Formats: sequence, C-alpha cells, structure tokens
Amino acid sequence: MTTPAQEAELLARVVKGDHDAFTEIMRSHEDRVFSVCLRIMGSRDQALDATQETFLTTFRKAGQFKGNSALGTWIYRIAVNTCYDQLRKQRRRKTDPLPDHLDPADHSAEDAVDAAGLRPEIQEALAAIPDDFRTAVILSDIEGMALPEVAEILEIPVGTVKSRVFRGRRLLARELGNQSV
Amino acid sequence: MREHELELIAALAEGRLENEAEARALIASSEEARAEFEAQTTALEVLEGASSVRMADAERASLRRDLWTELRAPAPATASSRPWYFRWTPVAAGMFVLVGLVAVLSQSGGLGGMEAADQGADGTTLAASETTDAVAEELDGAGDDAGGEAAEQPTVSTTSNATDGDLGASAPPAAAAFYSAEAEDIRSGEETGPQTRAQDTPSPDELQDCLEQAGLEGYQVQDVNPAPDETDEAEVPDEAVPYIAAIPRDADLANAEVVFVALDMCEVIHIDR
Repeated sequence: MTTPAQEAELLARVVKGDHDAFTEIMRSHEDRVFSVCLRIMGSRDQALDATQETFLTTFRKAGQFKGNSALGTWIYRIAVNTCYDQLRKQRRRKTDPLPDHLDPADHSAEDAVDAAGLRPEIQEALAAIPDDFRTAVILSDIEGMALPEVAEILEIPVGTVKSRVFRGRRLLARELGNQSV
Repeated sequence: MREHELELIAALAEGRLENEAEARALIASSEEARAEFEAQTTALEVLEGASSVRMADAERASLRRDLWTELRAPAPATASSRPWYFRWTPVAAGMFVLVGLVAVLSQSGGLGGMEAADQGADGTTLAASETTDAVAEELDGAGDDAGGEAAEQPTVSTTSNATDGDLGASAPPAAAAFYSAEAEDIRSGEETGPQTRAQDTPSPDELQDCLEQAGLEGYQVQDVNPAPDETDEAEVPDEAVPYIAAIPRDADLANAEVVFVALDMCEVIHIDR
C-alpha cells in the first residue's frame, strides 16, 4: 500500500511521462477499478472499455490531481463518472439493457457470470435499479468501502450515501422479489 | 418513517449495534419497519458472497496493450491546428439559427411576445440566449475527451442535489413543458393528490421523507405520479421520470411554486413558478 507521499511522487513522475510510474499505479488499482466498472456496467467487455478509458483519463489528467483525496479515491471517481457516461451513451443508442453475458444461449456467458461472483438474477436485479443507487450499493456493500470514502468518490454528503445505500438495498430486494413472482 | 428509525434499521441489518433493544422494539411494533428490515437483510444476504472481481490474465494483457497503444498514438488534431473556419462554423450556424428564430417570433408577436412567453412559461426553462451559451460551451469543449470531462462534472446531469439548499433545477425543454403543464393542472385543482394514482404509490411518510431528502422540508406533497408514461397526455417526453409534485406549506394553490422531485432518487428535477 503506497503512502500519500509515494503516490504524489509517482504522479509527479507520470506527469513527466514516466510510463513505469504509471504502470505501477495501474497495478495497484486496475482490478478494483475493473470490479467497480463490471458491477455498474454489467458486462465484462464494457467494463474493460470503461477501465481503459478510466486509466487514459488518469494519465492525461495526472497533472490536475491536487492531493485533496487519496489517489485511489480520485481514480474510482473517474471510473464511476466514465461508467455513467457510457451508460448514458448506451441509452441514447437504445441498446438492449440486459448485458450479453446473461444470454442463456451463450455458454461463455456462464463462465463470465461465475467469474463475476454474482448469480445472474442478482446481477439482473442490480442492473434494474437506478444508477446512483446501484453505484452506492456496489461501492459500499460489494467493494466494502467505508461510507466517507464512498461520499468522497461520488462527491456527495455522507448522509446522501447512507440514503442511497438504504434505498438501493430496498429496491434490490424488491427486484429480487419481483423475479421470484 | 423518520430518518433516525431508518438508520437504526440499517445498523441492525448490518450488525453494527451494540444494543439492539431499541431497533428490535421498533421492528416488533411497526409493520413498515419490519418490511424495511427484511428488505435490508435480503439485499445484504444476497450480496454477502460477492467480492471484488479480478481480471483474467488475457483481459489484463488486452487492457494494457490497448491502453499503451492509445497513449502512444499521435495526439488528435486540436482546435488550434485546424483551419480557422473549423472553429467558427458552429458559431456561425448557431447565430443563423438564432436570427431565424428571432425573425419567426418577431413575425408572430414581436420580441416582447417572446419575453412574455418566457415569463408565462416556466422561468427556469432554456431561453434563446441560453441556446447561444450552450453553443459556446460546446465550442469551448471541442477537443476534450469525454472521460476527461467526466472526471470534473457531476454524476447526474438532469437533477440538482438540493441538500445544499440550491433549488435552481431545470429539466430538458421537452420534459420542462410536460412538467409545466402538470403544474398548471395542479394549480387549477385538476390533480387531486396521490390517492388518485394507481399502483406503486409510496406511503405518505415515504413521500415526505423523499421531499426532505431533496431539501424541501417546508413543502407538502401535492401530487405523485409513479408512471408518467401512462399519463393521458398525448406527448410524454422520454425524459419525464416518476415524480412527486410539491408546493410550499400554506401556499395559495392557484399561485404556488410547484417543485418536481424524482421519485426514485429524491432529487429536485424541475421547478415551475
């Protein structure tokens, strides 16, 4: 785990174009960024795209990081916003909301779901709740982040995070109940 | 239910309470509290086994390869490297549209008519001058990548977080016209409140909680519409979302400000004055 001083030093090197420093940052955060993106987007392909876009932005905006939060918090904020952008673009194109890896005819989809660690009906229920509530539940209950960190990532008050997590769980339970009907 | 009670239920479901007596008593005494607790525990149980996911080796290799390809690619042409007319063509197009709009409206009722139309409608909807601002903003953003902007912009584009007390919200123009029409129905007494709506209407307490969440403590629920797409109106825009319509307590209904709050997110989406 890198200290804030080490993070600052790594970023300073990235700003100067040091690719090794950027690779080190990526190694520290890429899996968690991918995990967050996968839960939000619901598809591994889309999660990989969002992860790539996240680190592209991180590299290009490295000089703008002010150190007011931890580097990881800043990167996850970029990841969440990138996912939201991609979701908005998808909806404007009116693509199928169900991720293709839930298609029962696609055998590779079963492997992808197993690797994601969520049963299809749970991922489907998560995908059905509003983005803001889903993200709060993902960061808090799946990724195990403390509420203050979630609040920093989403740039909202802790009280709002609590409310979104509470309502997100409620909606998730309702969706699961509807699926069993 | 009050916020304290909801926090108590959440804490009990998460196993964070040292003394569970108060929470247990609440659940035992209230059907609503019991239902909320069951929902919280159901969600937590299904998510319990889930954890962070790692990329497969092939995915990781692909990610890094594509990322470095992108980073090492020549920089895209910036606005300054394009001929000067590339930058000014959108401005010229915007001015052309604006002049045409002014000409059409002048013929129909003069510029004064346009101003009156703006004032008669929702004061927070986009006016022609704001369209020009939007064109200028788009021009300033030319060359920026969407991911870069994503890092600095709020996550929700159509709502404003009213917890800071800022109620300056405006829906997209099509949705704004829909909400304005609904507001007029409310002021005229045609919309008689949540009891006339169909299924899935939250309880009065939940509705009031939602208003408080949106920073509208001094407001009361006047109408709730959980399914605007089922409204009888001929044209319901795609941007219209399930909403609560609220007015200030003790306001004169015929002249009241009507605030629309998204039902799912409890955030202000439109204000009609």
